[in-house]
Amino acid sequence: MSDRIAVLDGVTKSYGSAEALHPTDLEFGSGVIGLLGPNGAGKSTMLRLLATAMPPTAGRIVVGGHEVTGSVSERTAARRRLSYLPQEVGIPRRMTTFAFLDYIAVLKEWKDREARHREVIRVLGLVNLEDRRTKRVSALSGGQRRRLALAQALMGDPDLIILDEPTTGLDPEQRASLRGILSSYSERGSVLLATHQTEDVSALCDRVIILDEGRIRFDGTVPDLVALADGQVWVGAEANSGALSSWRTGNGEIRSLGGVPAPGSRLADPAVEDAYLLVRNTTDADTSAAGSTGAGASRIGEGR
Amino acid sequence: MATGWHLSPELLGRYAAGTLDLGPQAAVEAHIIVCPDCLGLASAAAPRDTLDQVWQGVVTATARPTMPWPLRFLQRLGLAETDAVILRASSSLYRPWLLSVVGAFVFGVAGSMLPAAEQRAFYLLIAPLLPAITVAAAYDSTDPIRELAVATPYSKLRIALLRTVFAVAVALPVVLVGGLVLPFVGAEAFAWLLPALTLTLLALTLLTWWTATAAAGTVAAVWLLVVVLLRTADQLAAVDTPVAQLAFATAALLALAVLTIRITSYHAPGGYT
Amino acid sequence: MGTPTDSELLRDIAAGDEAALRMLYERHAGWLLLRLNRRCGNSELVAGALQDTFVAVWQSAGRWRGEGEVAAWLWGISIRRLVSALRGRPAADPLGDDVVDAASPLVQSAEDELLLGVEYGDVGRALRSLPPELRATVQATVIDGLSTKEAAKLLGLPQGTVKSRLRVAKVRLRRSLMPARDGRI
Repeated sequence: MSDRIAVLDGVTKSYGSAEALHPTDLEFGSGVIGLLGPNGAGKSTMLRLLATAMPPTAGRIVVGGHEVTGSVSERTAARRRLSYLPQEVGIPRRMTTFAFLDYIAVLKEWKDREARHREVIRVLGLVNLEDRRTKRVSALSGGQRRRLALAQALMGDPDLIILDEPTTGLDPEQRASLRGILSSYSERGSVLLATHQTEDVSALCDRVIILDEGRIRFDGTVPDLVALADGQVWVGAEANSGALSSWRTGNGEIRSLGGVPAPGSRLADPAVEDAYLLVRNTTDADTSAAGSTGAGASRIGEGR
Repeated sequence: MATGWHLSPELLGRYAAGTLDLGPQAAVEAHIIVCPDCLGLASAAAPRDTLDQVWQGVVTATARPTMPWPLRFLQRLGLAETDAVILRASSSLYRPWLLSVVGAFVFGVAGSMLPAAEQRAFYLLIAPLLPAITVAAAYDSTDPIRELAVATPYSKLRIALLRTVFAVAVALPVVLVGGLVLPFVGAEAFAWLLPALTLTLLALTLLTWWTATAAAGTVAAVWLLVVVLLRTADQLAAVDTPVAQLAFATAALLALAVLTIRITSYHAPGGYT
Repeated sequence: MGTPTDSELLRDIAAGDEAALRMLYERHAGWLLLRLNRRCGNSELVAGALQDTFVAVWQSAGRWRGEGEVAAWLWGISIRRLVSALRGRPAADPLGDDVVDAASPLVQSAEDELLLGVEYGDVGRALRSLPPELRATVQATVIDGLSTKEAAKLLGLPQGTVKSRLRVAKVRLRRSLMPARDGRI
């Protein structure tokens, strides 16, 4: 497997005059890549483009060595190499969990019935739904439906797994088990996941990309990202003035991000969330100001 | 029967290995039935890999949904199992059935209620539309799985074809039987075939852009207009003339050409890209 | 909530509870597999019969009347599934011999024999007094509760042979059990 499982080359997506994704160049190798950003940042747009769910306005997309934006046969070949969990999947309510996965498996060209059914049962087990295998979708809870949708993305052995908010609706145990599945998978291929959970990123991702308003604001490792917030997080009796955010922690102290340190406060270890908030609240004009604070900062604004 | 006596590991081992004589063997078996403790021990002595393998078989066999009978019937006629799975998953497929039943009902009622002069116009109106609308109804452009299905390698055109063939196969017998049974339909019993083909292709072409409702509505409106105009001009029989049939054939070819262009630019009917 | 009983599991299975089927399988599949292995030497057929048993339980758990041991009910299903798996196989298939052969070597420890003797003395002794081919017939019909037709399939014998062997075996068993019992096992 080459290091370049997926490539975006000058890719843009616009709806009329609205730019959902500004010109973007990216390469994805093996490992888990986290896509962070607020709602409407262009995360889903990027994932849908990679998943071949819609064509880009301009640019070239390659998955598993096949050009998504090329001929029909190239696109089909690329589709054989990827799997996709959309942000919202409507599953016909009358279908059983098994029948749904069986159908998707057929769409994924599993022809042999026995092998296909074995695979369906395997992924049902992976998402802990084996004991719901005969149930109709209408009888499932929201979390179970989400896990069912996730199961189809784990079928087969794709090069690229594209997951749009896979941990939404999962309880902590299920989230932990999903992390286990994804990290074991990341040795063979590339997992690209959009999420709002910064814990998922710090627990799982080898690389983080922060998107905002259709532009890449950060692209680097988790330590690089966290380093951006070095010297910016303070703990003390009072909040920093002009802090980006501050709140009272469990032990009664106030934790502040950015701003002028309040008297008597001391520095604390930053988390992914701090760095994310910093990147988010750094406008293009003062990118360089934030850039002086960390090693990965040179990557802010890359890809424009 | 139990008196505090239990199977010794050694005895159980010999039972599992099959080296017990029939008498003791029968005793062991009788004891297992009534003693939950020894039953558990015996179960634990069985080969785990065989048990796991059999369990996988049980899981699959209990989960496998049964095919609806029309699909089982088609499978017997040679429909591939994977195609049957595709059709089973098409939640919109019950609508062609429904429409055909309604169509048959409409033919039957119209046959007894309309004056003879209107019956021909009526048949000419309904017969070519039924297959076209049935085909459109087999699509659901709000197909909930669409977003997922698009990203899979399976040919969306094949899905479209399967649905179309299925819908036509359901609608055709109704129209044919309706035409042959109703007393008022003469030569028109077959004159509708080419218009039906044209309208169906037109519907499929529109389906590469529009929703099923919009496509079916447009096709129905166009055909209604044609039939009303012909009826007002008292020219219904013109449909049956070689000129008219040639015109329909040309229109069908035209629709087919546009459809082909749309499909090769990767827009299968039903909103798939 | 304690461990559910077998009949509770069957009730849940009848209501469509897959986890209950899993528990029932964990509890019973092992001994059923061992016992089926004692009846047929073909491991593929045995595995098939075991699978069919639990599929049948899933589909018709509601038919259990709630009388007697669930284990005995399960065995009744299993042995019949095995018999129907044997159906369609050539009658000359030496499955009956497997069973008989497996039962012949006698390397039993004195202690076990003693204990078994205490628990199942009369029957055990009576059974051991029979020649192997009669024992196999008794096992299939009396112990497993099969009809002569089913037993014939299992043993790979003509029905008439099973009937006559069973007659002979009954006479002999009654003779050796008479002082203690009335001839029924």
